[in-house]
Amino acid sequence: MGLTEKINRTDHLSYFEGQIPVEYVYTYGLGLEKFFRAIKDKGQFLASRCKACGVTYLPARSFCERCLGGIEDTVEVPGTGSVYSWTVVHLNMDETPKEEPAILALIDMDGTDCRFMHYLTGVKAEDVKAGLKVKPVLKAKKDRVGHIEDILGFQPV
Amino acid sequence: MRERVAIAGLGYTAFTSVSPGSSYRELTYEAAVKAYQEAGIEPKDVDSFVCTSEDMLEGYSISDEYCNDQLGAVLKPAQTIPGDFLHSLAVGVMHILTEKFDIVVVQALSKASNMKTIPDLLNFAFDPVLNRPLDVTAYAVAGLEMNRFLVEGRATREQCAAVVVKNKGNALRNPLAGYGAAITVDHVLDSEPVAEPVRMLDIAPYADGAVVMVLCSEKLAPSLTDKPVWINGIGWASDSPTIESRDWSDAVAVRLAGDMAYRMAGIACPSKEIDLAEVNDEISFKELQHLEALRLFEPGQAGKATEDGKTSLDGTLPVNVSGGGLGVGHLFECSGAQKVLELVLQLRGEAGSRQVPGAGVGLAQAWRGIPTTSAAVAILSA
Repeated sequence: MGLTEKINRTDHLSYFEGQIPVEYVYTYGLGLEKFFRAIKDKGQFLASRCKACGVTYLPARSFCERCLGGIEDTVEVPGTGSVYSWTVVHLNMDETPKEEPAILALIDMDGTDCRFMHYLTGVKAEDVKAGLKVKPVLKAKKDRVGHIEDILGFQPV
Repeated sequence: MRERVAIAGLGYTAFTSVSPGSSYRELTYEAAVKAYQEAGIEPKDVDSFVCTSEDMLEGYSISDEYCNDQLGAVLKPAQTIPGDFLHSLAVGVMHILTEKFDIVVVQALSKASNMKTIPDLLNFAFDPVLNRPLDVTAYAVAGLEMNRFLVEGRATREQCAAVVVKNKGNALRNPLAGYGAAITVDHVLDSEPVAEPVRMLDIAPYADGAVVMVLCSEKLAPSLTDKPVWINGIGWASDSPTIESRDWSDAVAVRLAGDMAYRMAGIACPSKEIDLAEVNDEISFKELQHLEALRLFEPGQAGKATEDGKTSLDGTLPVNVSGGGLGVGHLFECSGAQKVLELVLQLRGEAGSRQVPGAGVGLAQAWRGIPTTSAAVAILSA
């Protein structure tokens, strides 16, 4: 066993470049269907409360990940929250520098036990701190399609 | 008393920033030949093979099918775990504890330099509906988590940088490590901002390499090796996959995996009983968070301990003496394998200029990396 020969000249190295086209659809399912319809039609945030565990999930979902009980009812929550953490993002996905650094935040969503990850708008990085109260900025109703990008970001209250 | 499982053969490549002279198959082959040679066995002697592979990282949609031939596992019982090497090690241990298998081979590989679009691949690991459309990089998520760690006062920015200084310094003593350097805290703090507070030098850079280990039953160990290293405990756990409902403060999965491994190994007081630890440091602060989750330091104390030199090579609990991910390189699903490899070398007394004197019990901890919440822990002894 073992090799007695190795490539020891850089100009003898070869490789083949390959790509795979990968496309999917991702089904929302019961919980997310309710959540995004409420965002699209009413600009409302719908959560799901597991009565057994006392955990309120945002976005709405159809079962509790702790006790695995089904959840059919939804509760409306205000969509406001407070900044739990944030980061100033300097690089794009292709690792080139962003023209303007973006502020990505984790937001403790009021009336829920969950956090939303989204961008902060209308605030400078140096003014962001933990606990900053924020509210969602939605697209105009006519432009909403029932998608996470219906939420443009969160801005200080 | 429960039968123990021995590591009886060790094979590995060096961990390098690129490996253009070898295919991914040849990397594993090189490690396999060394492991079989050391244990004095041939592939035909092996009862089962456990490989570690993630489709998107390998560039195959059924990558497990391509794990076997370079190990001599064709026409043999073989399976593949899509997790860290430590998850595969757990499967290997279980095979032997059934007493139906005497010799099991466990493998992991990183050919990170072949991946042209790693940020996109990691983005593809996010929830496709809620998170992926926001164009969030894995490092941005690390930035959120690190900032919370700092906001809670769990460590200072400088203490996180001290982890980088220590690990890259340790790597200078490890001939297998690809990213050793003598740097200062200021080098880290002045490096390019990526997703503040995360800066370029806070991030474990990618590396290539392969590790193969031969496991065997306690009764067979004397015939394969005169320097067995024992797997006394192993554990694994996961938190919620969702960004929305997971714990963002503590590495809960690491704590649960550690407790499971400690119970199996009969360890009541980890901070007193563990002689050295190799923990995940994919981002600098993660080493501190993981040490605290593993109960090796009280919450909020690991940063100060690092600054005070307690986790240095000559400290009371040396951590990542191999160089860790920051000094050896981030090896994706092979990361845990590099940690176990280091423990085996240390526990055999073969770690050269970075040998921890009197190393008797070691801990290896893996995390599947951003954006996962899966962890595994192994406790080894000489």
